Amino acid sequence: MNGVRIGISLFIVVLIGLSTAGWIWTGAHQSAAQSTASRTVLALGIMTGLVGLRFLWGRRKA
Amino acid sequence: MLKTLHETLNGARHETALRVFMAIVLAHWAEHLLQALQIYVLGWPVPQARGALGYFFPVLVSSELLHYGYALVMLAGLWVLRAGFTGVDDRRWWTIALSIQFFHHVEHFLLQGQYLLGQNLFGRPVPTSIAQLWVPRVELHLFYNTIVFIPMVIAMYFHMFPPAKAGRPACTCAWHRRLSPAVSA
Repeated sequence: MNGVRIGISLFIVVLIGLSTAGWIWTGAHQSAAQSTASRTVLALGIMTGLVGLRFLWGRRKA
Repeated sequence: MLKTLHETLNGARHETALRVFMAIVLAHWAEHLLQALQIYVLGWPVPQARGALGYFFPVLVSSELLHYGYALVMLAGLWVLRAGFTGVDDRRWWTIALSIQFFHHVEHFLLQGQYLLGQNLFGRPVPTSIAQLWVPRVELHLFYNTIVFIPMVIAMYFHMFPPAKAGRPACTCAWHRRLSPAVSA
């Protein structure tokens, strides 16, 4: 059970990491308007990843 | 016949179907993750960052049909395999993934429609989806794939490990069932 959970978590961490790298990259390579839009969706993606980790590792109702 | 296939995919073959579906999803992810890595980490120009297969076969990235085909396969897979998710948590998360994928598919449908009609929306030089009016394509697809994948994988996890109180799980996907064959006797 934990092996599966760790595997899923690592994948989500990779997604969060790449989205964070995207956050940094967009600030330097896109126009202000594009960068704001990109950062908004990347931040939402990161938040979704964190919510996923929270539900994956949180206590579940029996 | 379709009803029988649907029953089989959500019964005896649900586990196999989910494995195949997950393999397709992960293969698609590999391409998108590599593309993001090429742009954000390796600093490749966006038009040259085409993942692994797209590097050798650029048409795979430029073809709207292929993108639409994948969106359709995702939508069909999430729709067809939903009946096998019989618990409360797993079905809720799977339905969230299905709902988001439905909108993602509409976006690709718009792109495909513009390509087929040779007429782009909003006077744009290239086919453009609604969200693409504001968000560049690479970031938008990273986002869409993330927000579909995470609820989907949470649903799969809850499906594999249902709460013990829910009784003996009906699906062979559940690990409890494999670990305690005596319960079924």
